[in-house]
Amino acid sequence: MIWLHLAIQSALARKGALLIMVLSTAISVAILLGVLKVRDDAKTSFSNAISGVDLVLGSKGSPAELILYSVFHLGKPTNTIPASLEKDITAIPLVDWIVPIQLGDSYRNYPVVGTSTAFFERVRAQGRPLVIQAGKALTDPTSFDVVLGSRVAKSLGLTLSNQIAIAHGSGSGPKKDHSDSPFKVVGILAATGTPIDQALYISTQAFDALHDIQDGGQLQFAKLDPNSRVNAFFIGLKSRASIFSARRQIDDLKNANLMAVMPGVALDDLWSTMEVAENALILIAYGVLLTTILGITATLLIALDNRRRELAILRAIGAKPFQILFFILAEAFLVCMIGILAGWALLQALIAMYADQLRTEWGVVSSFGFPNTADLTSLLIVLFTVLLFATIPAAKAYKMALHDGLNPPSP
Amino acid sequence: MTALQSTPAIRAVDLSFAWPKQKPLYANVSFELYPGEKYLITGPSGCGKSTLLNLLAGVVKPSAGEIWVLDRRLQTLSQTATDQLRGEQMGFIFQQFNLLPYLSVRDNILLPAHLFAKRKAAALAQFGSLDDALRYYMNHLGLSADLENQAAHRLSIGQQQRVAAARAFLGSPSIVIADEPTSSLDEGNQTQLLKLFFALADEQQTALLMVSHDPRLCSYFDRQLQLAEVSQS
Repeated sequence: MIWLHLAIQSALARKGALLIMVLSTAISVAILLGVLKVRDDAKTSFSNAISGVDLVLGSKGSPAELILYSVFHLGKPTNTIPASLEKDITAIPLVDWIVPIQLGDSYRNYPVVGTSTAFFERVRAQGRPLVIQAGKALTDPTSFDVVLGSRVAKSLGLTLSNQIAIAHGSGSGPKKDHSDSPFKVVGILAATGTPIDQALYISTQAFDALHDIQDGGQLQFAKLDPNSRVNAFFIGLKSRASIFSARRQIDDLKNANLMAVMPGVALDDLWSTMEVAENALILIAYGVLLTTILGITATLLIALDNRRRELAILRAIGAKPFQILFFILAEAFLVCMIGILAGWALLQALIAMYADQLRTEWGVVSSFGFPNTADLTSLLIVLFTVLLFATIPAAKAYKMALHDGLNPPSP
Repeated sequence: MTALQSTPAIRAVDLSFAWPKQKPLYANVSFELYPGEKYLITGPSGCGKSTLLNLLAGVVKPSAGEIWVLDRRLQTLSQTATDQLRGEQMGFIFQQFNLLPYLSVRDNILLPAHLFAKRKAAALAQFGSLDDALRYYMNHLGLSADLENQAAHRLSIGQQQRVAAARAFLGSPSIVIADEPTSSLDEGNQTQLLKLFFALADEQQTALLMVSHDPRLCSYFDRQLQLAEVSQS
């Protein structure tokens, strides 16, 4: 313990330089842990972009494409399935609820989603139920009401009771304004950090009615097409354990053009396409860390010249070479440990400060948490590497102590 | 003069030394230092006095000859055993910069007792507690009690030398080696400090080996070795 005491006292005597080393280690560790945490949280948040949905039903094709347009509203939803399937699927005893998703229209480049009132009760984002921040959810399917995602309301400056005209078509392609059918904003959703924030929600009946008047006729719900089609259905089961049975029963429906996708699996597949970016981030984080470790080593080496007298005194008193090694390594260990703890604390403080912003602006749900196994492994690697690099100045100190003997040059 | 005893604390036999690719510093140096004896090694600057101390401490190996410390031949000991022998049986006082500046006076003096059980046991046997040992040495060397918790770097040079002496003598080592310990002091303080060293050495039967370039100090010592003469021989 005396050597640890000496190492601490010696370090405290040079606290200015060591504080900079601790700070630089802390920042590097915070970056490393931050990148690892953002990676994990982003992945979880991505997988939870839509939750509470056990199956997404769409036209047979690419599962990733179905998820991209039904959940993320990306790409062109060209494939449709009959809206009447809702009755057949509801009839399956394993199914608890079903919500239609109809796409194709947009308002100022934000997608418009035709859905049912159940959407607001059943669909969850990041594991939390949808919250109406202002106004109300869709309640009357035969009204031209619209509920806005938070980002839409914020960026377009829309508030309750505003009247808007929805365009036919989406993205940057040609649009035909339904300017004669103004929708009234009746509700605004609270931010979720998911694609839900970036869409407008109307009822499927209103969606169909919009298209029925494309030829210039009067808007009326009575003329709805009984052969209406939707792009997808979100399905919730009574028990998740029955997911494969439910899929089989859906496959058994006479419509052979159907595909039921487990969103979690499809989202994981989609996420794996981002592995390169993910690895690049981690590489950068480790690069920052390596720079810091080299900085610590350089600082220790530079400090050695000023510590020759100290080491000579210790040798004269009877310190053994391995104790000199320990003395130098203990300092590196202390600096690194304090840096790691400070880095972790710094990250937690940043998360506490910016958790809401991360969730609503970036869709990443992050919260206070102790390092997981992967984090601990990384930190152990850091600690081990610092100690490994610190053996360079430690070995030099050992050599210097032997060479200087008991009378090193005066400071 | 102190009565010489049969077993020397240090015995150097035909000692020769040269730094790599340099002329020999000494050839065939022999001397013996007995318990309780005060021995002075003199010589001009650069004649290798400090190197001789490194040889005797086992930090540097001689080119030829033998060094015996308390009947143990240094060349046959491992580095660890040599370090152990030095820590347990030798105290050192340098010209200056003797202390770990970040430690208090108390911690500096008690350091050997914390590092070596033998030194601690000897101090406890002699004084009953380390606190009493500390007070004894501080008082004996003219250090006031209120300096006990003072950081070493705040002390004057004279005070630092006294603290270094207290550390060197704590736990009754067999040998205290002093490398020009009074050279940074004025003449009055030099004499006073030497007398304090001698009193402690007599009391503990510690052999005192001191190096100095100042020939005026010869009269204070039992025996002396003129290193330059040896080197030229």
